[in-house]
Amino acid sequence: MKLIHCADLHLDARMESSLPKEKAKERRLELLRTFTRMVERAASEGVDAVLLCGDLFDGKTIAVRARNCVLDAIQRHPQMDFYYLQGNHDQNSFLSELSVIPENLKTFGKEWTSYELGDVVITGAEMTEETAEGLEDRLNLDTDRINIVMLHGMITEYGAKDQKEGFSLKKCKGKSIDYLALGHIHRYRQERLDDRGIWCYPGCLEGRGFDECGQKGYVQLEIVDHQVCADFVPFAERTLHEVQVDITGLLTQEEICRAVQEAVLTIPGKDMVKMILTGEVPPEAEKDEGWLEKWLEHDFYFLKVKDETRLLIRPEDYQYDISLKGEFVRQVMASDLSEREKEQILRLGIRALAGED
Amino acid sequence: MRIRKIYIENFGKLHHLEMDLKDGLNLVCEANGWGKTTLAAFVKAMFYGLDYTTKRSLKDNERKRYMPWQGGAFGGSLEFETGDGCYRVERFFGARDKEDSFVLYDLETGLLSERYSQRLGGEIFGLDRAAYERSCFLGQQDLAVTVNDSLNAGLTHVEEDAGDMHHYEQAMHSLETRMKYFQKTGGRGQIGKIQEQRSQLKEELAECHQKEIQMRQWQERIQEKAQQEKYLRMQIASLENQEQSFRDYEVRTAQKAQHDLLKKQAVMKEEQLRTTAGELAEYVSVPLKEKVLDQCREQIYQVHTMQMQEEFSEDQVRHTKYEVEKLHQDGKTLKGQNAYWLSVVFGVLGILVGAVFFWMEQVAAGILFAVFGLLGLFYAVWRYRRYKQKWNEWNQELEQAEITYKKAETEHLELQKSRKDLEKKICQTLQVPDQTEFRELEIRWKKMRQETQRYSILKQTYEVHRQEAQRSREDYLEYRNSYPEEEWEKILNVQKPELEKEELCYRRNLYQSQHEEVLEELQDMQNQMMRVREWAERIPELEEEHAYLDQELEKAVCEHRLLEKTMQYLRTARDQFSVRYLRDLQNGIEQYVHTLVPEVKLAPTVDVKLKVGFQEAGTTRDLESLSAGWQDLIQLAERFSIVDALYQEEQPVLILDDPFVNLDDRKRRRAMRLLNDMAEKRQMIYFTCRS
Repeated sequence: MKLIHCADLHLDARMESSLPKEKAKERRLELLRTFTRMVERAASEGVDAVLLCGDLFDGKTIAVRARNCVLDAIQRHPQMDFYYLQGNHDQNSFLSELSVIPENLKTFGKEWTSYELGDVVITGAEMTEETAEGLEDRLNLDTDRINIVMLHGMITEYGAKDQKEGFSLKKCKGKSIDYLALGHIHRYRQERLDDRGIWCYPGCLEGRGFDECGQKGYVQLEIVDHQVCADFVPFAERTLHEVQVDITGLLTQEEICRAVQEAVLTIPGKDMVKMILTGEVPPEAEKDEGWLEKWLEHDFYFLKVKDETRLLIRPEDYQYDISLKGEFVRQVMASDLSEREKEQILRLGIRALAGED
Repeated sequence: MRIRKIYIENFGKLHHLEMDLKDGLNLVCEANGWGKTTLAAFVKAMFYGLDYTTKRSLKDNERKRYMPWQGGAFGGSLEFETGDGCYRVERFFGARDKEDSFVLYDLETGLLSERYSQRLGGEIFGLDRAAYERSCFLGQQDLAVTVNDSLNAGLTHVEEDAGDMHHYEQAMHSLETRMKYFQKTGGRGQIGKIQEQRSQLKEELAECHQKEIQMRQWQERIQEKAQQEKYLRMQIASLENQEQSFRDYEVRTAQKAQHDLLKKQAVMKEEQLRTTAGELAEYVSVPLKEKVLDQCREQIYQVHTMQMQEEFSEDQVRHTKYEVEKLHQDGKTLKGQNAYWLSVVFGVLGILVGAVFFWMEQVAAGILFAVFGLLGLFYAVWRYRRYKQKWNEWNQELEQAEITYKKAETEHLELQKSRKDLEKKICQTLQVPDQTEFRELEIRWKKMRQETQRYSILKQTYEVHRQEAQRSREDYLEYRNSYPEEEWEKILNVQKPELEKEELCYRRNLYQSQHEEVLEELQDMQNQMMRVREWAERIPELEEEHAYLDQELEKAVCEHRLLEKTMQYLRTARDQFSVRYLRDLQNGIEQYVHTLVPEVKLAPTVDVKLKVGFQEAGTTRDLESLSAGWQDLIQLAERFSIVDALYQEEQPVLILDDPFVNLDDRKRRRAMRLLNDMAEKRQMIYFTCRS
């Protein structure tokens, strides 16, 4: 038996990567397409069921297009069951708009609900403020069956009282769980739950912002001889990368460009890159984020440069500098501005005094 | 501070140069190109090291500029005296600052000293390299240039050399231009533009949110309407169900009627069958079948025929018997006619007589008797043969007659037997005693025939009834089996619905019209909702754009604020820098000018921009209005006053590269005198190419 475990798709959600308007729109469509691609792949590989562990959608209002696209994908594959557990972002937006829930779309409530799929029992509960308390204690599973449990929330060692999506991993141990299918964390993570089972966050299917860098995809489960094997399948259309480039000691634009080019050499052009310039640079260094962005504009689907370099300026060098620059540096250094502000002002002032724009 | 000794290993063009310096004024009279500027740079390099820069021009890159011409170790040593001791600094330079070496010896102990670090100059003079260079080195060319180009700047040649003050305005202009890019008066500029876009977007977003609220309201209304629709649908469905129930009732009623009819028919037919069966049962034995009776009748007539045949046969037997008896009589007659034996005897006797005659030799008699005897034998043979033929013929006739007789007799007997058997059979069939008369048999047969016919009709009737009963039963059962038992429960216990069909139809039509209205309203509401939903669906997109603009605005505001602050700090720095030395500079300039030209009363002024002027007749004038000599003089006074102002504690060594070239003799003498006076409190190295 084959199953697919995915979560946190956040379909039709706003992009968090400061994409230009058109690209943000394109990415939203790509997110939808990645979902349908995943379903098509599942169908072609004879997958029996798809576990959607929460946050399929992002808010109360979902676009008709997104709703219809998901509904169509479900209806076009009646041979596959879709187990849809709502997450904190879903807010019943999808289900409330369905006049008829397709037969192959299985939903869950605030208390544990179980479905049988051959030898497998799929159990899930939607976590809310009211139900989270003691939810794990109320879980009773048949030891002789293969038990897959679906939850959407943050695992904590002893249960998070202050977080309504929190649940205790400790309480899930020894409950005859073979696979704890989770959602809520956007990064793939899989670990052993107890002697019998494992828990797994598949992460999101596509990264939406640069806080969701790295490979994204779903987890494919294969149940052979009463054993659940889970493998992560990278499936995102585009990967988001955060690349740090240390430009310490680099003064000219050419040197910085070369360093930047080397740093992104292995990244495919269809990906999205956030480049962070680090290190300590003197005020005279020819560093220009805008220029770098323009220069690499066509090399990637999207690229942005963030300057996190520190200004290589030692106050002691200016302690005895009898010049306007020295006085300026001393004035700024003695101010109660933040270190970052001081650096920025010093860079601006010194470069301006040096006759540079 | 005092420099005691200079040793240059290699520095620019200077090579293995050793120079001992005394207190006060040290005159170095060398030709042009000797390396006076290089020496001055070496002194500076010993105190401050050499700066590392990627600048390519020799003017801006001292490390490159003073790289030894002849190669070898790049650097040297300098022995100096400060208030707290005597030291020797040894510095050697590489291609990059990381390759530089610095060693400081305490000359009193001869040991390495950590009294000063590599930033020796700053630590001793409290000034950085550029400030030292600008203040302590008075170059002839520099002074001339300063005099010629920087009269407007007055004392600011200090900043001029560093490039600061000249760039101040430019820097401020550049920063201001950039600020203006972000914000111009009247809310224009990038910030205004973004704010405007953002504000439009915000309005649009607010409208979208408003539409989203409307959408929610519509959704709520739709939900309410949907409830209403659902209620009506349920009512219609209920009424349809009731109508269906009514139809079911009608159908079931018909079915029940049909059922009852079939059942009644089946019962009736069964009763009829029972009656017929009763009638049939009255028959103790089953009458003969018509066929049997027909056969019987045929047999009767056959018996009759056989009787006639028997009579005839009897005649035949009698006749054939007679024929046989007659033939037997004929045989007896024929036997009587058997006289050939006499012929044989006569013949034999004749022969014998003849033989006797022959023997007696009476031939003729013998022959006569022999011939007679032979004739007698021939006759006997002929007679025998004739008799034999007749016997055979008789015998054959007899045999034939006996056969015919026996056959006739056999046939007669058989016929008789057959008749009797048949009679017996008929009697058995007709159940009458044997040897019943033909007439009676006939009567009996007719009676039985009537019985059989009646029975046959009854049986046919029974069969018809049986078939009818069976068919009725089958029809009934078939009908009964055409519905499951539970359905029969419903059919047989069918209850008439409370409401009449017309009432149900009326109510359903009423609800249906209401339902159609609600559906129309619902559709209308959904259309309305979809219209506002299109707006609501734009929220993520607009929020994205808003977030993007927020970010852009934040960046722009931040940049603007930073530019503003940068300008503010630059302005403050300039003011501070100016104010810090302004008074001392002004007093110093005035004093030195007075020393140089005591007969002239000149009141120099320095503004915050370090612009030097002088007051005359209550007005401030620019230096440009003075002659080049005066400008040089005031320039010199500025330099000395700057040195006084800058070096409060440790006095540096002043290096003068023939700065009095533009002064007339009187002024030069006064200047030299001033130098001598100044040399009392600080060491000076004066380079000149004139004796």
